Amino acid sequence: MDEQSKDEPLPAPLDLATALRRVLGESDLDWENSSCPEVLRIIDEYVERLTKGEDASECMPMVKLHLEECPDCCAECDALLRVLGFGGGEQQRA
Amino acid sequence: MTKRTNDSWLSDLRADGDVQAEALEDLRSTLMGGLPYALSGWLSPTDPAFTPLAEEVTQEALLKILDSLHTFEGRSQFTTWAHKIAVNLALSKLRRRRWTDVSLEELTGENDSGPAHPWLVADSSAGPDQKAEQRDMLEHINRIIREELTDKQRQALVARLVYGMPTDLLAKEMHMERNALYKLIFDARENLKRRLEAEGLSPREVLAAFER
Repeated sequence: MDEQSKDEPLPAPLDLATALRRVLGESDLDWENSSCPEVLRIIDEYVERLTKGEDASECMPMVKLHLEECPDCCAECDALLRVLGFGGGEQQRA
Repeated sequence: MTKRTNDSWLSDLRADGDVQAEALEDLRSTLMGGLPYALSGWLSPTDPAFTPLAEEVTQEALLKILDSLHTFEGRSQFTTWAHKIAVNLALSKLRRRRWTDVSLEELTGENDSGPAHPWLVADSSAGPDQKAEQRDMLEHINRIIREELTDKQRQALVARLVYGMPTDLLAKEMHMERNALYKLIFDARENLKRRLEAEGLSPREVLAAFER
């Protein structure tokens, strides 16, 4: 990919609630190595369950918890929901 | 396009000749069709960079899918699993692009007026009372970040936890090993929480004030 143009704005900070959970919470800081691979391995199942109206917090609670703290995995979940025709992932994860 | 079950996707992609070629072409179309939706908010399909990225991602995804067929567990539709692989490739590329050449100092540094760019900023959608409470609390936290943490701790904590800068890129930027970076951020977080509690603010209470 091309290098970022010098005119491009800096990346925006994460949403405040997520940033504060990460800054003040107790979560494992090595989530990329410990949790992300496992979550991404099963995120397709999680997304399909959401599209069927299943309660995410009941059927796959650890995935839901991880998504609340990991914007990267959360973005992948949202993207997959959009591909399947369910836009605006936020309400799907509530 | 041929309609396939999970099993027929697997067998057709493992087949030889025309059967596999047709399956690959169908899969390619499927993935290309999904990428505009997946990348919505990241890159518009009308952006000149979109088509080259989509084609590059689709090609890499097809290779990765063929290599990984034995890992498909049937937890979802095959096409959903395939889209997942393409989405992961695309967003990984876009994330790296976003962070290329970002100056840590510009992101996390300060000038005479305070942080050059906001570290923690009140939620604009909050009501006026909640906004005032949040603003006061955030000023407190930002002040502690400034007073309590070393420059390196502040850089690492803000870049990683507030801005979500990928760990490998941040470690490279700070000339550190990953484990050393995790320790730096861990210590910064502990210092922050300890100072908050010493000033009568429980991290749990702060988090509760900001939960949706």
